[in-house]
Amino acid sequence: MKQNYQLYLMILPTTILFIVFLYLPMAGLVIAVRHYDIVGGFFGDAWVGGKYFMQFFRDPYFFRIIRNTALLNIFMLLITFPAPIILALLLNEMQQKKLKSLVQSISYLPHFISTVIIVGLMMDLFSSRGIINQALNGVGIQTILFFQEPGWFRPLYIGSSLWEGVGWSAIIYFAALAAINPELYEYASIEGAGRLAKIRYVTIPGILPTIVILFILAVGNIMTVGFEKVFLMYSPGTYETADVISTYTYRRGILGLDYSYATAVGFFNSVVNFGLLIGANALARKAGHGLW
Amino acid sequence: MVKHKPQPFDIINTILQLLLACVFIYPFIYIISISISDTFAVGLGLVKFLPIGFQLDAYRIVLRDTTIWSGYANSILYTVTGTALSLLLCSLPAYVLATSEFRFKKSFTAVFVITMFFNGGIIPTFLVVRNLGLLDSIWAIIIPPALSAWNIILFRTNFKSIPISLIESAKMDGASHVWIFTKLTVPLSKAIFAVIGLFIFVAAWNSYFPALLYLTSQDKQPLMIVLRKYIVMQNMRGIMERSIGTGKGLGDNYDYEGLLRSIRMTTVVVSVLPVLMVYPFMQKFLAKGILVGSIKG
Repeated sequence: MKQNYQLYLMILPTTILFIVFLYLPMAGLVIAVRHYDIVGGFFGDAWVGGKYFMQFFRDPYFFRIIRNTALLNIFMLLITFPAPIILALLLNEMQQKKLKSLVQSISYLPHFISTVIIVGLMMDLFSSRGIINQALNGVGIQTILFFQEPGWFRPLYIGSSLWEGVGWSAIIYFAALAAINPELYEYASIEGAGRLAKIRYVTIPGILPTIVILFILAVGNIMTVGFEKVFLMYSPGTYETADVISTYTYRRGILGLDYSYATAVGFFNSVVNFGLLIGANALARKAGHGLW
Repeated sequence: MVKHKPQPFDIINTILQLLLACVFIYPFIYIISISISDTFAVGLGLVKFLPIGFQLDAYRIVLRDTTIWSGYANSILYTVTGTALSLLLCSLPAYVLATSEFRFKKSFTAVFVITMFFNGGIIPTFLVVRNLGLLDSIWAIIIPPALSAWNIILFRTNFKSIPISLIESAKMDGASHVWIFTKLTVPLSKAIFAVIGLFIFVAAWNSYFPALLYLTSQDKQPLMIVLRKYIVMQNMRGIMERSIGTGKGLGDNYDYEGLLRSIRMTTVVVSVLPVLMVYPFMQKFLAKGILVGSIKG
């Protein structure tokens, strides 16, 4: 037991770094209710109560960023959540094993490409002289300036996320499909079940727990938008639909040096997220598939 | 499984999957084609799939560009050190949490797991990094992403599957924990190190936000920040002045707009290359990765 000091030596560096880089910022959330000045120290210099929260609720952009964040995520969820399930089911039904594994390995290639490159690529494909506009012109539709029109922000964002993530997200469903007991299919065949019946009564119930868990997690993240991609895609011309809570926080906080205000906005976002996660889990628990 | 006769559904499904594969692969072929096609063809928008004509000027310009090279060097530095650091910082505590004799297992696990649900957010984290004096330093780029509770849990789950008898007998022979970790645990867990390492590597190579937030010096920027300037903000002024302005090595036989696009796509090819090169290796480990992902907590 005298060697226990080695165990501490192994666990303490990481623990200390966790405390510094993850817990200290949590404590730093206190500046949301304090006045913060660059010279006033890490925790600010005076209590101001809910001042910054009130300021946020009265912010002319309050409604816009909440709406954009919520809508972008709801549309994302509606489209990118079922897509990998459908892909996995269709691939699962494929008879040619070689083709199946080929499609599978190609489908998650985009996941490994950086957001910067995906957005850059999209900007080329959807530019005024890009291939998409050429195709549109070919069928007599006028050139669309995709990246300047607020109305096109969400379709582009969601479409590219689908391209990027559908294959990767399907992996977990493949794993779930592989775990279904093959005997169940044999019983179903004996009972005279056709293909659709098998999908409906064996396959889908088999992967349902996975679907529910992933759905809860997705709902818990409904107010989180990956900052990185929006930041690369948006421009003042598309703020109307593209500006979300995290990008607004970045502009106000990091660029505008309005630290307390931006922290209050970010904190509000986390609280809403946490509430959604709890709510989604409560619903799922009623259905018998809770996460905890 | 019984092989049954192809039904209309199978045919439609196969066609659908092939189309899908094309959609996934098309952009990759497209960027390569643009990067090597004749600049006039590119400028006129004739290149749609396969290359038309041939030139390597875009590659010459890109490979001569110092910002790309320094971006590359920085990215390699951040990615390699970041991956090594992350593997170390996540596997060591995981070993401790997997041993039976450590007394404070629960409390330490809680310290790590809580961070999966709560965090301080962008601004407070930024202020901590700034107050530590880490702005514009490599540590700001590699430490925060290295701290992953999720990876610690994955390592711990994996270490627990090592037969306890092996460890017990090593202890009987008087082996220390450090010896067991380096001589037993790590060699027996190569696969999990490879899987997690590859994921961290790819994420680090592709990330740009920490650099955007914390780095101010031009010469410290990673490749993705350089690329953001060239292909997203489409600010090519630097690269053009350096290479075309002087006209060195280029004939008059090029289309300006076309060359710009070729250069942009060349930078994409050049930066995607490392990921494409590790991709076949990843394929091998992905099956394991799926297993890792499905063993929760």
